[in-house]
Parts: sequence; C-alpha cells; structure tokens
Amino acid sequence: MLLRGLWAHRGQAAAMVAVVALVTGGCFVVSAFGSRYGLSMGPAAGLLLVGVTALGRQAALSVRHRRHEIALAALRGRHGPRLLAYAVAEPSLLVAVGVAVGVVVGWVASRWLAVHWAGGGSPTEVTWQQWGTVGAVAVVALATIVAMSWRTVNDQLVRQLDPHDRTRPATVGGLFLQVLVLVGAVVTVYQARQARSSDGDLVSLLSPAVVGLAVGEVVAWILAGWAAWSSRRRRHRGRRSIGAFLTARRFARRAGTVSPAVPVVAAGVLVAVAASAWAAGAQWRSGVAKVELGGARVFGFHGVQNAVHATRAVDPSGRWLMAAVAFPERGGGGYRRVFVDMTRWARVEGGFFAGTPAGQVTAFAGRFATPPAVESRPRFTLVTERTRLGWVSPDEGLLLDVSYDNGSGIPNQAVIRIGRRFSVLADGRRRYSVAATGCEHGCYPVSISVSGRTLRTAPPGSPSSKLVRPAPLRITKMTFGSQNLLAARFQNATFPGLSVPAVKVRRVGGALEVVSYDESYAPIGRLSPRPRVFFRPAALLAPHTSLDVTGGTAGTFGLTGNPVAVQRLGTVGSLPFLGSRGALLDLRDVLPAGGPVIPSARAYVVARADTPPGVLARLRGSPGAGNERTYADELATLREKPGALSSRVYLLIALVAALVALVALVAGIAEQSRERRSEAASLRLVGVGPRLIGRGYRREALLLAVAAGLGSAAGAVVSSYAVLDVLPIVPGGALLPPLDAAPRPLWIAVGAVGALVMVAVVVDALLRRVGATSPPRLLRESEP
Amino acid sequence: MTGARGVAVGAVVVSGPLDLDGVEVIVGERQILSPMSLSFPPAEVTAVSGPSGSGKTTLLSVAGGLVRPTRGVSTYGGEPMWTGSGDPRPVVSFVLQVYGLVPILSARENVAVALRARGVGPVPADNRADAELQRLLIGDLGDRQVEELSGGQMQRVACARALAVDAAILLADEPTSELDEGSRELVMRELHAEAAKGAVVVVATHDPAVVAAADRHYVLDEGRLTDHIAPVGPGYGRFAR
Repeated sequence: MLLRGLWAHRGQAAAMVAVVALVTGGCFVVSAFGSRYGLSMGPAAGLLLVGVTALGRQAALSVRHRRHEIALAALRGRHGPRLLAYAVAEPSLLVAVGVAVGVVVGWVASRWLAVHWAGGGSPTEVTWQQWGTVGAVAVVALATIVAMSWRTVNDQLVRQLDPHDRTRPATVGGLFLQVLVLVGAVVTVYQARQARSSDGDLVSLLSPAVVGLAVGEVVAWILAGWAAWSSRRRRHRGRRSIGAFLTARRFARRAGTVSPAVPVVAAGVLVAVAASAWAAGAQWRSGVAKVELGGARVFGFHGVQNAVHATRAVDPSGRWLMAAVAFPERGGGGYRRVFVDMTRWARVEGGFFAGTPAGQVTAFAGRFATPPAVESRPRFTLVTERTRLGWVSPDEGLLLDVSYDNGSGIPNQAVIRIGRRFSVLADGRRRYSVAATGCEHGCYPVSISVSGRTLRTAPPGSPSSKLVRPAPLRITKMTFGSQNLLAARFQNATFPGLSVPAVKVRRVGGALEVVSYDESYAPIGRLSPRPRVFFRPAALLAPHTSLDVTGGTAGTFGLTGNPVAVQRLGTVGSLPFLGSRGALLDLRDVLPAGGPVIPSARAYVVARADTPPGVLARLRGSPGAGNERTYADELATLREKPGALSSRVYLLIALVAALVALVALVAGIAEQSRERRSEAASLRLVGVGPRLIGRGYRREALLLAVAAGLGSAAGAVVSSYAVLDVLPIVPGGALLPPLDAAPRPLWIAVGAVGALVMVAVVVDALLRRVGATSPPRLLRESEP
Repeated sequence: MTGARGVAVGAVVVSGPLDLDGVEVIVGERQILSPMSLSFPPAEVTAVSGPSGSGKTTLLSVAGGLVRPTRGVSTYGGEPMWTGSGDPRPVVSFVLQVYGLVPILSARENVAVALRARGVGPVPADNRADAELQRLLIGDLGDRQVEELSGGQMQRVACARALAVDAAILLADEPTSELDEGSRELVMRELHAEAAKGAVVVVATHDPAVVAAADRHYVLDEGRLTDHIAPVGPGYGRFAR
C-alpha cells in the first residue's frame, strides 16, 4: 500500500528523494573534507538551510497531494499520533531512501574529489563526523516533514475532502517563518560585520543563505504587490494584453507561483559569494606567495656580503639580480624589516608585484635611489647690532644655541657665544658664525635656546662700575644654512615654576631683541614648520608598523643592530618578505663595511623571472648560494593549506545548493502543471488562443527570472560585504596581507545570471507547451 | 459590440440549427456514441438526458467541437464545428459540468475574460460581466476569487460567462446540478431567454425539472439515441418568457 502510494505520487517522491540525497551528499562531502583536512563545517550550514527550505516545500506539496488519503484514513478511525504516523510514513521512507542515496553519492564524490580536485589520496573510512552530519540531515528532514504534516492532520475533514484544491490563507506559523527569515538575515549580517576576522562563527557563515532566502521572500512580496497594484489598474488594453492580465493575477493570487524561485535566489547568492570567495582567495594566495617569497625566483644566501657581492659580480649592470636582507621575525612587532638594494628594484622586480599591495613599493623606489639635496655643511650665523653689553666675568656671556636634527637620533647643537670670535661688518654690526657638524645627510634646526644674562655695564669711571642692569641684544640676522631663522616664531621664557620672565623676546622692525635675566638654559623658539630636508636612510612602512621615536627622531635598527634614524617615505599595503608589518630600507645605506651582522638576518638574492640560465648558473655557483625557490613553488605550498581547500569546498557547497534549488524549482513548477493545464483549457474554452496563453506564460517566466536574477544580485552584494572577510578561506594572522573582501561584480553577475537563466529555462520549458497541449476537452468530467 | 472573429456580442447572430450528421465516437474498442444524426434547432432549449455514462457529455463535446467524432460531422451554418485543435468556434459557449473557471480570477474576471477574448475592451467587459452576474443574482460576488465560492455559486458564474458572450450556440452540461430550486428556475429562465434571441441551447441533464422546462428532449442510453420528444408538450418550456 505504501509502495502503491509512492508510485501514485512518483513525481513528488522523486523530487523529495533528490533533494534529500543532494543535501546529504553535499554535507557528507564537506564533512569528509572537514575531518580530513581540518576544514570548518560552518559553510555547510548554508547548504543545509537551502535544503531544509526546499525540503519543506516538497513536504508541503507531498502532504497536499495526499490530503484525500489522509482524510480517508481519518474516516477509517485513525486519529492523533496514529494519523500523524500514517501521514509521515511515506515521506519518511522517501527521506530514508534519499539519505541512503546521498551517502552513496557523497562517498563516491568525496573519493573522486579527494583524488582529482584536492590532490590528496582517496579516503577509505567514513568518520563519525560524517555519520553525525548524515544523522543531522536526516533528523532535520524528518522534523520538517512532521511539521508540515501536522497541519494537514489537524485540518478539518471538510477541507481535506474538498474536491477543489483551494488556496489556503497564510498561517501565523508561515508568516512567523517569513519574518524570522528577514530578521535572521539582519542578525547574521550584523553578526558577520561584528566578527571582522577570518574565522566567522556559524551565525555569520549562515548569512549568504539566510540573506538569499530573505531576498527571495522580498522578491515574492514585491512581485505580488506589483501584481496587485497592476490588477487594480484597468490598464490592460485589447485582446493581446490578456497574457499580461493573467500573469498579474497569478502573481497577485498564487504565492506558489514565485515560491519555487526562492531557493534559486538563495542558491544564486551562495554561488556568487562562494565564487567571489574563491576568486578573492586565489588573488590573496597569489599576492601572499609573491610577498612572502620576495621575487619570481629567490636564492637563499649564507652571509649578507656574499649576497651583495654575488649580485655585483654576476650581474654588474643590475638587470637581473637584487640582494636583499630580511629579519622576518614573526613576533617581531615593529622590528620586522627588510633591506633591499633599491637601485635594482625597478628592473629586477619588473612588474612581479603588480596587482599586489607590495607593488606600491615601486612608486617609492626612485626616492630611495636618489640622494636628497642637502646642505652638507650648514652654518649657524648671527648678525647683531653694535652693543655695549658687558659680562660679570670673562667666562660669562650670552649663549645662543640652535638644536638641530641630523637624523642620527642624537640631538646636536651649534652654539654661538656673543662677545667672542666675531667679525665686524662695514656698518659696525657684528657677525658670529659657527659650523653645524654631522649634517652629511642633511639637518634641520629644531629649536633655539638662550642662556646667560644680557647686562649693560655702567659707563667707565662711574663709581658704580660693578653696577649692571639688563639690556637687550638686537639680532638683525639669524640663519641656519640657507634657512632664515628670524622668520620663526619666538616666545618669552619663564623661570621654572614662576611666571617671571627669564628671557624676553621682542620684534623690533625686522630684528629680534633678546633680554635674558637667567643664566640657565631657556628655550625661546621652537622652529616650526620644519624645513623639508630628506634624510638617508629612508624607510617605507607597511600599514601596521610604527617606528621607534627617540628624541623626536624616528628610527629602527640596521644590519649591525645599531639604531638608524630614518625618514618615513610613506606606507604601502605590504612589503616583500615581511607582509603587512615591517619597514623596508635601502640596503646600501646600512650595509656595514665588514662589521658583524645580526645573526638572525637572512640574506637573499632575488632573480627576475626571465633571468638567463647562464646568469642563474653563475649565481648558483657563487660563494654562499643556498636553496632556491620559485613563485610556483610558493603558490603550490599555499594551495595545499586548509584555506585554499576551504574556498573550493565552499564553491562545491554552493553548486550543490544550486542543484537542490534546481530540483526544487522543477518540482515546484511541475506541481503547478495540473492547475496550469486546467487553467489553459478553461481559457481556450472561452476563446483565448494557445499562442496567447503561451505568451503569457513566457512573460511570467521572464518576469520571474529577472526578479530572481535581481534578487540574487542584491543578496550577493549584501552578503559579500557581510561575509567575505569572515569566511575561513585564508589563514588568519596579523602579519599576512588582508584579504581583499570587496564584492566581485563579475562573480555577483555570474550568480545572478545563473539564477536568471535557471528560472527562465525551467519555467519556460515546463510551461511553454502548456497552452498548446491543454485543449478544452481536458475539462470534461471524463475523457472519452 | 463585434467580436474579433465576427461574432456579435450583444445580439445573437442566428445561422440555423446545429446538425449532427452520422456522428459516432469510438475510443479504443469502446463505442461511446453510436452513429446518430440529429438536429438542435435555434430558438429552442433542447434537453439531452440519460443515465450516467450514456454519452451526454460526449455528445455535447462533439456538437461543440471539443471532441472530434470518429465518424460523421457536426455542423453549424454549413461549417464543421471541429476546427482541428479542439478549441470551440467563437459562436459556441459552454457551461461545463466542472465549470471550467480559471481559479486565479475573480467571478467578474472569469466572465470578462470570455468577452475580452472576443475583442471587448477591459472596461466594457467588466461592466458587462457585472451585469451578467447580476442577472444570475450573484452580482455581489464579482470581486471574489472563484475558488472562494461554493459549488452552486461557481456554477452560476459559469452560466453567466456562457450567457455573456451572446453565443449562437450555448451548450450546457448539467448547469443546475448544484443549484437550489430557485436558482435552477432562474438559470433555466435565462437559457430560455437566450433561446428566445435565436440561439441554439442544448442542456445535458439528469434533472427531470430541467427536462420538463425544455422545448425538445433527446434521451440517450449507452451511447444510443433512444427517444426524441418533440415538439414540446404541455409543461415543457414552462420557464420560457
């Protein structure tokens, strides 16, 4: 009897078995890869959700088909649990068959994929995790069936026995589920945005499927709303518009018209997100392989000097080879750094880093290579008006001290003592000048300070010859190299802890008057803005790097471990050998003549991809040459890591979800065929021709397809923003370059067009001939 | 109002009787209708009765061009009713036993779509539909989707649709099977009204009251024509206006 019933509903039964088998098989494969390669099972939750949605619809259709049987069973005396058991027996058997088929398909698929796709050996054993997944799918499927059967079992007999398959009003439970899906979409997107890491939780990973289902529901509401509005307006004119008239009524009054497309929208979103993730992961791995390796072909070298000498000896013109030294300590914080022979960068790199964040280094290469224009021997010069300043003792006097920065990290001063070693100008003014030392790479003045008192002695012969009083020193010119320091802002200095002035400064015309009451050091001018003088060495930083700052000077450590004052040239997305944290300096600036190099330094020689074999052979024969590694080697290593496999498994999950959606769509539309044929026959009975009916169905297919495509695109954009950077498709790590998680328009379009084509083809194929093959005689009570 | 195929909507265009000439229907090895020739004259309501399975529905289907006879021909105005596709000619309207209503449409729309198929504009079609529904005392059901209606209400909507197009031939299969006595009399009165305009009206029925209300009566049994009562006797056609 059970088998007879199954045969009577064989179409629905086949669809249910197919859905369960696909979901089971898909989850089986994912769990096989998960247990073998340590992949996250999270992305499979999306497949399970789409599967449950499709299964729920199939179960609802199945129960609807069997409502007369269930009513007859009730009339024969089955009630309560017995009736429920009767109702769920048939679909439960289908679920069991589907699970069994799914296990077999999943087992075969996982073996095949492991060998041909993941590049590993064929797994032989089924793990408890896989059996657990299968059990979970079966339980969820059975729970869905029981829930769907419950309503019919508890329905009034008169409704179950109604010969007319009347549309039921939406139930509170149904509305609750729709609202739940919408709220769920918001929650999962919010949760994914909060996660902000490459290890999203289950809620985040459900986001694409939930968003897809929610968008599908919204699309259904929009279509129904548009159709209802359109139906109210009597805008359809003439006989040709009957098709549009009927399409509008169908969308407005048959929820089942659009609902088969909802899983398709969800699958379109999943496919778009999975394909975007796959593309983003591939792009990330390509970039990371380039950044971590540092060049198209990289040779390890023993000894920094060996590496440098090898490049100069084998490739004196700098066309093919470039030396580099890296300190890639993973936990090095701000001390991760790389030293590269920047004069060779542009030619040796040769576009290798193009498309990666490290490609931005090339834009700065010229600024490393070009020595900055600096005044190598600037002088601190003062010109004062003739003055009668006197001093309490010969050792006393007014000191004007300019502090300057030469990039060494150690403050420097140039000091002028007023009253000593001056030259007298033609107009009687006095000129003082002193050289600033240590400015080979450039200097800039930082501040000016004063110490000593400006006193005026009593006139000669005066009884109070020892009597002194404060007097101003008028400075008419003050320069540091070519820089006019008088243009700077000056301010009074006060005694420490008091408001009494220690030094007063005042501008008089173009001159500066200084009156000092104190012998201690008192700053009177902080020179700002700093003149733009470039220092060597310069450093280029990755985003998460901060240089040490000592005495207002930024610095890091050189090859010998000594501090090196550097100027920050700029920030780039990532640096070769280092990733997203570290500093890049020019190797020539820090290369010691022969001193010790920090032992942890790793020396390399980078070779262009098209380096002639002869050059490579000589390099291999150079002293200190070690192992070599190519970009392809590095990429292959990265591809074997769990993240790469995850992105492929996620794509597989999305494709299985698309198959589930396809089965649900075909079953959902095929389910309507009986009503459609009856409808077409009724229309033909009153004179509406089959062509006109066919055009109406084609328009319906087109509208549904466009809506599904647009819905998929919208859902994919939202989901991509939400979830791409939390999918476990790349290994986490603060030092690795970040994944470019921007939505990929191409793959979003692929998902959307896929959904559009699937709906258009299936709906058109199943409905196109309905008008032509449904003559009015179908409506007769019995066929002759 | 003139339909796209030259059918007048609003006035019945009479082209003589509906003739069945030697029609026979065989399905497989089973003879559904034995060879028979008969004529349904215009301006009369003809009843076809007989037990279940006697071939009434098949006879109407052959007469209206829905089913191709194995032999013989059904003609109206010299034109065969079978057009080759199973679609009825525009001169025919049907009331089917299963109503043949479009479930996604309202009562008004079900009537209007038949008019629109004949080239009537949407607004006049809706107005005419309202009038037809009112004629059968279900004017208040115009906005209701037909699947929300009871069987009797659906049957009256189907009648209204058949009446609305002013067809020259009106073939009704058990049009009163789910109606109460008052509604049955109303429907029969309207069918007589159509006949009075010159239409050929044929009603397949089990209902003696309907038979009694007809102008002419054929009796079928196991696919054979067993009796023909014509012209009308006293009591026949009592609903005629």
